[in-house]
Amino acid sequence: MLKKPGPRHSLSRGLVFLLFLCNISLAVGDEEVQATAKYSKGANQCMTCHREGRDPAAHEVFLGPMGISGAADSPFAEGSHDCETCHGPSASHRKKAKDGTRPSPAISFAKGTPTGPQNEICLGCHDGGNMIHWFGSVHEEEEVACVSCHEVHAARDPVFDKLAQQERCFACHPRTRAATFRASSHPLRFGEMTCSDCHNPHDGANDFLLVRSTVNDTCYTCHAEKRGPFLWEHAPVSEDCSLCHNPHGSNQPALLTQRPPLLCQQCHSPGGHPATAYTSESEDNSFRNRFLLAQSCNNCHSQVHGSNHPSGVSGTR
Amino acid sequence: MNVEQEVSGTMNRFTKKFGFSISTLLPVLLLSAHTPVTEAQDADPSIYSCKQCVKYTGWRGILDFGLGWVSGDSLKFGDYRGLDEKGFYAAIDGDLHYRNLQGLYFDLYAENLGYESREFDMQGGNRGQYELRFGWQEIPRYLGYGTQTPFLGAGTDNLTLPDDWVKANTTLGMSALDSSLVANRLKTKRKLLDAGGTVNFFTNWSYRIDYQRQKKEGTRTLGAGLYYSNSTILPTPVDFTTDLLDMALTWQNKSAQVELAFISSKFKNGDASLTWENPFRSQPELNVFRAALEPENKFHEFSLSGAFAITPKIRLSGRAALGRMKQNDPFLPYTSNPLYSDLPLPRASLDGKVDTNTYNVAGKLFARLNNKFSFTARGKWDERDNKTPVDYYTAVVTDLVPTAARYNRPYSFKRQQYSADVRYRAHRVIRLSAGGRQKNLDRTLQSVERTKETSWWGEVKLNPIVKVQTRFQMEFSDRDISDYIQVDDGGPVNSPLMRKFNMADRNRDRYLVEFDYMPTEALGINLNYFYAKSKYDESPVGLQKSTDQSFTINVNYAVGTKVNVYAFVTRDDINADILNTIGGSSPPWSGDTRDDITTVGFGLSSVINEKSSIGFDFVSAESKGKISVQTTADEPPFAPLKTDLLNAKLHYDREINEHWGYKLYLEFEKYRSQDWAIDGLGVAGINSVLSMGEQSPEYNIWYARIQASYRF
Repeated sequence: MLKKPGPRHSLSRGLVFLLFLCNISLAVGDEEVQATAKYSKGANQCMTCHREGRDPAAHEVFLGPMGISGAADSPFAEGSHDCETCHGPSASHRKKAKDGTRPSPAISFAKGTPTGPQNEICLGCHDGGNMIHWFGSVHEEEEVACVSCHEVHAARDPVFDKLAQQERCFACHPRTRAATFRASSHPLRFGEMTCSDCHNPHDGANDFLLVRSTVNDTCYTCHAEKRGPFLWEHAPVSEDCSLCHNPHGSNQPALLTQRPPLLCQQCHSPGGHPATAYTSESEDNSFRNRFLLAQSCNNCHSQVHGSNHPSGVSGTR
Repeated sequence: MNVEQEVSGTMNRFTKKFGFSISTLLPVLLLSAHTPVTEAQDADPSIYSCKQCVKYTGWRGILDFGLGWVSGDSLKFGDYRGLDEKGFYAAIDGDLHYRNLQGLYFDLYAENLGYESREFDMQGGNRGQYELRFGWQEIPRYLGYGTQTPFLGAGTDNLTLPDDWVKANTTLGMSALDSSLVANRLKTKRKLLDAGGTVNFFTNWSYRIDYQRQKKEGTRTLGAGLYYSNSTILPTPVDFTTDLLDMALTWQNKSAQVELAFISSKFKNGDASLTWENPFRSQPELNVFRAALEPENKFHEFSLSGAFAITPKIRLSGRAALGRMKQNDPFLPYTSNPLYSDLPLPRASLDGKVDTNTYNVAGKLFARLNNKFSFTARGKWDERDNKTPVDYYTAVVTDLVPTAARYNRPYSFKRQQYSADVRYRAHRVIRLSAGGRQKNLDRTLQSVERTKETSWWGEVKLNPIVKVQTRFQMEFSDRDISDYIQVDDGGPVNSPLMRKFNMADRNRDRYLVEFDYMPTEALGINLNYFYAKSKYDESPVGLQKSTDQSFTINVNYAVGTKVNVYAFVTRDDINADILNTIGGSSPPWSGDTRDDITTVGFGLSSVINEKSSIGFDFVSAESKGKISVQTTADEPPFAPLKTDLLNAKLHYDREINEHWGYKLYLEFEKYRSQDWAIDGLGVAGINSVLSMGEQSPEYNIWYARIQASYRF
């Protein structure tokens, strides 16, 4: 049984920064550990109640990678504590208490239970590879539980399905879900891409949890043709794709944050056609409408990501 | 499926080498001082015997096969789905699995094998020792709707016009245009082949290697100008190949992990250039133009990552990555114009070289001093050091007009970011968080040498009762710049009033409010409000203000894994205001963009009984874009840009017996869009632009699928 943390500190104390420091020493002294929990005698005990047919969800663990007892790293490998490898010593869970209630397993992974102890169990094995930067990452600091996204008791963890993974992410990032239905978006809703193609949810090293060092490096994973370097570079393109594109979805073509010519006119104002106001009345103006309609600026300046043509200085070749 | 009831004998004592007892987890557990238990009162796992554990061994799988049917032709509906034509399609999905008690496994997942969007993934190996992976995916894209072109050879790198083509100064005089037009579907297909593996060895070591070949082929558009007078939208070939190699060697023990990784990317373009016959009259008269397409490039990066638990309560992690981008494709001549064919190039190819260095050397200092207080500090430096040689080039603009020599501008920059966050659980019901971030960006050859942005944020997270969680978060950022100069690179110079938004003084405020209420274990209600506002008050001309506002209500009702019902509404308002000027004494003109998007969705999935399940999903996304450009006159706004999507899906799965079942799927999608920039123009709607006549798509499409399921 877990012991509750020590004395509670008042709300007012928390508002004074000095007490942050005072509290460090106080709280450290509060920590006590109990060593009274007992293991039961393996999965056979658990299966008395959670057997196939009676609790199919629990039994599905044997369909997934965790349930292969012959695997050296399985919780069910020889010498391990089977279910209690993850759920902790839970012998008390087998019997009802005097008041008729049944104590929960040591680690139930249920909603509302502390995420720290849950995640520590998972991290006991899964702490390498793309988990290296988990500690201090935004999801770790937000106390996101591993089981908020991952499902161990399944033949295949749904988070590895492109559509199911999105639902996990959208539960906390609802704006992104709506963005995927905009006029221009990456093909998430078709299941051709998913969040983890660009983001590593376990990471804390890169901005926005991206899978590569920078925004551009992440985009180049699929759009390598835009990497260059080009003879004639477009400076904002080299700096950050998201200056002009909204990767989650846009009401404008090609994920653009605004529609040309206004997108380009945020930055370009030399005299002549780049700085001219193209109003709704320009639609019928046979001279002006070439700068406004069809592909607008891209009617001529199509090499906006850079040109390697010796005469491509203005992106027209 | 071979289901074996395992009645195993007495198990041997588990070796420490692969131990998973709580004691081996102690170092990790101690990262938080809130350790729930130490070594518990231990039963002896060596005597465990599970008579009731079902072990799934041997082969098992599902094969779904049948027909899909699409009610109409629509490139937009088929985009990404690969279902662009009315008719029947082979609908084949499935998965295949193998397990044995020694840890050998194999998994294969296949989807849409009869469609253009087919995909499969497989992996196998011995759990905990090695794994091999292989995958294939095809992603179809349909880019234009109603597109036509008079050019012959669309999809190749050489476009010609019909023999009877009549050149003219504008499209009005192209008398052979109508008779020459041929429908040209702008399609690309991306094919991805993945192969990789992981092997664990010497207890603490693992090696991972992943290779991917991306092949993208098809046709897209390219706009090509004819000086200031005309332009042509050309069907342009896509023949891209990208080879990606990603490998890593990892060592880890109880308190540290280190990874040495290498990434390689090689991009090849099967078409170095596009040549086309000039459909317009030009001065001087010129028949053939040529544009460069994307050059081949390479990128390599080595990285070293590590994480160390210095003490159980302090963790340091970091990453250093050194990369290099290279590009050295042969240059095309300045022009296809024989008048300037003798202009010498300063070099035969660019020899472009950019070093990309990223350091998280300080990384994150994570200190969870107790269960109430944590501190995280981060530092990141990344650099784009462009070492491309600089030379003077005498551009011949649009193959017609030579200009004064200009030198190329290989841009470099350095980004430095520092941040520190503290999180303090002041009480069981309240957590306070705050942090600051400094972001400096030094650029070369641009209007501003340095921008410095300082951000402060704070957050209050409240759990007044177990069923309620709220979060209030706000962030304020202030970006200051060094002197702003208008760059004179030999080309047109911006107005002295212009401040490019990515290097302008800026104040940004951001607010987030979240409210989660779980009245019961099954029911969850979430409200989410987000507001961000960026102001560029120091910019006389350029982006003035942008706002992004979003509100979401989400309701979810789940009863175990059997029933899940959800509904959501999201309202997004995205606005941007700019000013610009044609210079002189003319006052600035304004351009305002307002995008309003409402997304509504609801659905349910339910396990009816052990043999059948049903699901329904509905989503409606209506977006309206309003653009208003105002000079001194009182011009009316543009007609609204509209995109309305309505999608409904219904599926029903039924098992008839142990082996057989069936799956029914029905989808309806309605799409309407209006875009004043393309609607009704056709290929000659702009006198000076020969376009491809793209139109806004609209359709009502039914898609049905019936499949038999064979389970084994």
